[in-house]
Amino acid sequence: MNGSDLDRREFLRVMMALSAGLAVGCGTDERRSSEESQLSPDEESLRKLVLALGPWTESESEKAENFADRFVTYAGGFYLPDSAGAIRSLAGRLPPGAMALAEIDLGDMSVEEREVLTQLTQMLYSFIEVRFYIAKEPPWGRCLGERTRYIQAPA
Amino acid sequence: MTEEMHVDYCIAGGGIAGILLASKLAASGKKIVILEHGRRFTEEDRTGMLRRGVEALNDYADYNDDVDESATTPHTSATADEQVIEWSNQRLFGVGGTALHFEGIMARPVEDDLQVRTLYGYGRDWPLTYAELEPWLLAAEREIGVAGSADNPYASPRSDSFPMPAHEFSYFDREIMGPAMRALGIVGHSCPRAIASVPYRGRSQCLACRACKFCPSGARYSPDRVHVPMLEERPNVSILDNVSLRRLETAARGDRIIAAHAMRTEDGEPLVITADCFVLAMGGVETPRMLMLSADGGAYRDGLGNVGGQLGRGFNDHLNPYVTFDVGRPVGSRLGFETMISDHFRATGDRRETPSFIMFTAPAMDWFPIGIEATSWSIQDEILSLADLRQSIPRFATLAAMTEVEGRGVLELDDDVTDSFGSPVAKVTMRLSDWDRRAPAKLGELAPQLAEAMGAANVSGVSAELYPGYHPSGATAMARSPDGGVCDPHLKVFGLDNLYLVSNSVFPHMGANPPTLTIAALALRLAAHLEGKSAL
Repeated sequence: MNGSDLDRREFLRVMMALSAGLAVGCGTDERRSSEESQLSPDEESLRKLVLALGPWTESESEKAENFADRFVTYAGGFYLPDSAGAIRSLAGRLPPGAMALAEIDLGDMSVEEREVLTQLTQMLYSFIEVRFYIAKEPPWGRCLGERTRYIQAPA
Repeated sequence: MTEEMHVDYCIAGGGIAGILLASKLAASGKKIVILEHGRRFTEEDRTGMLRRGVEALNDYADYNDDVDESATTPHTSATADEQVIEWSNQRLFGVGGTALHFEGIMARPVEDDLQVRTLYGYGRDWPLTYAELEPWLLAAEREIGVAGSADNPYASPRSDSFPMPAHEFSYFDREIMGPAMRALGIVGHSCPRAIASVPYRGRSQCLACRACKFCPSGARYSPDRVHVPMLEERPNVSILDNVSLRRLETAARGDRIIAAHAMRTEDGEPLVITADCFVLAMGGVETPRMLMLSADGGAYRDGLGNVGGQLGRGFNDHLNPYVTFDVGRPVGSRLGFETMISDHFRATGDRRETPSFIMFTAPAMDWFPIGIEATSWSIQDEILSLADLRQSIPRFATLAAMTEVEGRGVLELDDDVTDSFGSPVAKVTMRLSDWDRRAPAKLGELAPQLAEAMGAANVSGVSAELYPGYHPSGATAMARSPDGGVCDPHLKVFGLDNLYLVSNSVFPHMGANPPTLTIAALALRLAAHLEGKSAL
């Protein structure tokens, strides 16, 4: 497993660099206005991928789309434009409206497509918001009135 | 126009050391000024940082995110010769210092940590014994408010109990990791924390917000929330934020500091402070750097206190290796911090063979990128099973170690890089020995054994590259004489009658425990010394 450990350090750098970039103005904490929310085709592809890879089902589409929009806004620069071709190609394989896919065949992908898909999945499932959602944890930073939740056996 | 000020005590650095020191000196009525390079954060700032972090998917949101690093000291790194690792710093500038965002682990040193040269033949001995330090450790625990328990069989003696009960073990610690460790003969015990387990001196108990960096409940100690408001009530104390100390001026005879030359960072206006006593409490990097930047053309051409050529030598930091487990069953919720640690490898084994280390376990730490292992472990026969991946996330746990390092590192001024004031930044070179690397290797041996004992489905290896612990220490060590360090056992800089240091830079050696409690203890001890008190 040591191979993945090398990735871990590099990955942490990416995540932290992403955060630093956001903080110095590469991103913004203001949501796009409706006029600005027109995504480019590449951004649309990235958004489709996030929805397909993520954990949200159709019944939670509003939550999923909110996350995907923010992902494109704040983390999109990590994938676009450098990996635009792979992103477009991967999104092109998805059925319309795909959400919470169960599995993906990596066998017939190019090396770049596979790398991009793997990294996107790794990043997605490292985000606190995604992990807490899956684990049914209350949102990060919300004080719990019932603080003994952590000592209880998981349901 | 230069602003001038005269005080009794000029303290540079508004972190936990400087603030605690001032809080004890303030009762004397003497005039005190604290110079802090960073700014005073408000509760609204904290709320805003957390909100923006959530909105922008910034899991690493932090206090200095909007600070231009070049205005302070750029992170340092080194990439040369044998066994050098990249070293980076996560200190904070701001009233409260790095304790604004620290995890609040308040582990004490063990007795042997202070005598490693005598007992084991490496590092440097402290000129204090554990018995001499212990009352100050206890005082610091009370001052800060530490939750803990006497359940640690490896602990060195303590003269009284913790001021608060320990946080209860998490489900994972109690039912999974604790039994797994016991199967290997290791006792997991409570982790002393500067996080209130019950209401304490006006602080809320922990409300499990799980965003400890910003601690929305206020349960975690932060100097700016506890001691700074008290200091701000004192007419004899001034806390000047956004003021950067640039150098200390030595008297012509070379026996005293006569002035601190500072600058207001917002408008560049100079400020000169004269004082009877100066204290540098600027942390493990900036404290030695300031002594170097204050080199004069006379006796201290190589830096203040560098009488024996020790300034910058013995730089030390922990290493933090990690492993990740897929425990194979849900691990439960996280309080936001680890509730169980083990000092087993601090108190057992031969330290000549393997460095000591602390182990921490928890359901996967919030900031830890478990998506890496979760993804790679969900790929089989060229199929990425996202369904398996999602099911695995609630099963993840992490095991971390904080390992002792011998302390062969060097901190020096960088000839090539300057900060925005034109001053050379600090350059740190961590020279790791083969011995230093044995503790991470030991964790690597232990992880699969623990995995088997807990019935885990998978376990990662230990990182081949090593993370620093962000606990810079040792570059202005205290010693009995100048050939062993930069300041004496009372933290007075050698050769200078009115200059004192208090930070982890004065540690001759750092054991495997995080340094904050010891820093606080030294600050309280220094306050008593400056006030002419030899004991509590």
